[in-house]
Amino acid sequence: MTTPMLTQEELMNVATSVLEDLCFALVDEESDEDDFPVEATALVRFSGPRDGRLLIRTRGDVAGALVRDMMGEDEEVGDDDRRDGLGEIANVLCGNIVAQFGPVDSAFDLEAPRVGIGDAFPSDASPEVCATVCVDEGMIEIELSSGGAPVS
Amino acid sequence: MAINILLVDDSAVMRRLVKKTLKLSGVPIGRIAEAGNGQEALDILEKETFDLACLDVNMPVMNGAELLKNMRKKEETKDLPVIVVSTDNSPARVAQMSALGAPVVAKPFTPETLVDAFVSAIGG
Ligand SMILES: [Mg+2]
Repeated sequence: MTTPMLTQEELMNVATSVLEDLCFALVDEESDEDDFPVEATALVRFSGPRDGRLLIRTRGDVAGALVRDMMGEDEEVGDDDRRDGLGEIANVLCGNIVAQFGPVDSAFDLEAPRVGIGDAFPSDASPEVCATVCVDEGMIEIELSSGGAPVS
Repeated sequence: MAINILLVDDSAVMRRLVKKTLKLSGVPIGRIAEAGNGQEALDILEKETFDLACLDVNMPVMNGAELLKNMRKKEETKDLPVIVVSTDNSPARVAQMSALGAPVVAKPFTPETLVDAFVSAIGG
C-alpha cells in the first residue's frame, strides 16, 4: 500500500497558507452560507515521484476577488485575468501540495493549468483527499487525486 | 543604469505581479520583455540582450528547466544572470537549478524575497 499523499488537515493548511500569502485572503473553515453556485473549475495534473491531479472548484464570486487581491486594488482585472489568475492559483497550490509529499529525489512536473467556467471538469469518483475553504465571497473545494488516468 | 529584464511565465497575471513588485522596489528597471513559454523566450533571446532573466518552471511548450539548459549552451546567454520564480522549490528542483547557476524563489513570494534575489543576481 502506498502512503496517502496528504491528510485533510495538511491539505487545508497548505491551501490556507497559499491563499493567504498569494491573495491575502481571509480563509475560514466554515461559511454562514453554503449554497453558492459553482463559478469555475481549474485542473492541474502532476507527474514525477507520484502522479495525480488537483482540481479546484470555486463557488460564489471567488475567482475575481482572489485575482484582484493578488494583483492589488489599483489593477484592472478582466475576464481573461480571472481565468489566467485562477489557473495560476491552482498551479501554485498544486506546487505547494506536491512539496509536502516528503523527500523525493527528483522534481515533479506540473502541466499547465486548465480552467473552465462552471463545472467544466468532473470530480474524481474517489479522490484521495478533499478540503473546502471559505472566503468572504464564497468557497473553494479542493480535490487531490492520485493516478495518471487521462482527464476528459 | 537601468536593468533590462526578460520575464518568462505562462501566466500573464503572474508576469504583471512580478513586474509590479520590481517596479515598486525602487530598483532601476529598464525594458521588460515578456514570454509565455521557454520557446518564446529563446526566440526573443535570439534578437535582444538582457541584464537578467526571470523564469517560471511550469510552462507549456518548453518549461523553465529546458529553457535554462538551452540558455546555458548558447554563447550569448550562458552567463546571463537568471532567477527562477516557481511554485516548485523542492530540494530536487533547487539542486537542478543551482547546478545551472540560478537561485529559486518560491511562489507565493513576498516582495522582499523577490527583490533580494533580483538584487543579488545582478550583483547589487
Ligand atoms: Mg507556470
